[in-house]
Amino acid sequence: MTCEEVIESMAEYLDELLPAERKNAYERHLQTCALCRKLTTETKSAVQWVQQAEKLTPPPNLRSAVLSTLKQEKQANRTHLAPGLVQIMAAAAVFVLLIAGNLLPWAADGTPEIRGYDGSAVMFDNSSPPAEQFSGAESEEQVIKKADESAVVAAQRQTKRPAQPRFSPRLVVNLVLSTVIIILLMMARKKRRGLLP
Amino acid sequence: MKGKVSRLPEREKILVRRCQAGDLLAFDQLMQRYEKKVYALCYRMSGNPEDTADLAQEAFLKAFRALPLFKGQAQFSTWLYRIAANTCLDEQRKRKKYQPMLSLDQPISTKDGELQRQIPDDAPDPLTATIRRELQFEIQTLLTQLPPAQRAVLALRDLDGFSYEEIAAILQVKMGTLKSRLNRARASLRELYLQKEEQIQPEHIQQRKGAKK
Repeated sequence: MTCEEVIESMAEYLDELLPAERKNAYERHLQTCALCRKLTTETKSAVQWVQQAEKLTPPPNLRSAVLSTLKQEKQANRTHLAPGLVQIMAAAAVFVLLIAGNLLPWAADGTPEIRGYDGSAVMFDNSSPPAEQFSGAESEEQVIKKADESAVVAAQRQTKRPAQPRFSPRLVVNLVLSTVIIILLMMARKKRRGLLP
Repeated sequence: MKGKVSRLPEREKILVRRCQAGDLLAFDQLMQRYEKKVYALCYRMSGNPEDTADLAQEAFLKAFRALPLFKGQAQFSTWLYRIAANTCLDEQRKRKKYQPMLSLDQPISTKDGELQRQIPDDAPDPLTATIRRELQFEIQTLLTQLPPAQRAVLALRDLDGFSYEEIAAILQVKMGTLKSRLNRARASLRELYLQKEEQIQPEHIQQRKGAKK
């Protein structure tokens, strides 16, 4: 064993963790090298000296202080949310918005078209009207007529969508919403990362 | 210490799960189990009682907040000590940035006041108690002079008695890194210890200097 190797294995030697073979090599080196012998002895004394440090008793109010802070936090949050959950939920909401925006038909002028099968304003466009919306009093002819009308409206809508504007509003909205989702997810990730030790 | 933990792994797992659901009583039990070691580590790292209490509190708060992310990939105790060690090291880094001399000055300023309160006063006579207090103060002053990373290794190994494997897991370093860091820490400790000894017994200086020549 060289002096360098002795310095490198000194911690393990003092902690009696060296395998027998290396321990013997270490001790053989000490017999011939006064400096390593001196360093080993001095290090051993220093470690033994520092080991006299006494165990400390934590202050009695340590735990109660932690608990009261946590209780306050809990009351402020009401529910104990997982870290980053708020951001993830916000991202999910924006994602729903993004999907909804794409399912919703857009008129050529860039405003979402929200007209129902019979011309009345509805929230979403149903190209095939649900049957239960017709009152029972209506005759079958009326039903068929109305259904035909809606088919015409739908057909008109198909043809009435000619040249797209230069900046498709749908594209712009999609880009903005996607960016927002990415930012929110990055925030959630950062928040979770920040909590990790 | 290790035996104690592995003897009750199931109970601890249940406690951890209850904490993850936000159960503060369960967290109190976990804190009770580990507060001594966490507090001891924070004290060795900070060197003064006020900061120690703050650091230990901060470590437990961080642990509770991060518990939903604890998936049992490590032992809970290792994970907790890692949070405590990082909390202390982060604090040291902040201190170094803004108040470079504080860590060296602090133990001296608390010499007669706060530090002494920490040491249990159950010595049989006043003289023994004074000698004991003086020794404890010297040890802590010397530890404070080590670089924080070395101080952490030394405290975990020589004061808290963790195994090399445990320390490597707590500090998230490779075994080789840990061994060389421990060797460096003990070498620094040795130099500081010898300096201190020389100051106490001036005649030794001459002898040692002669020996070096």
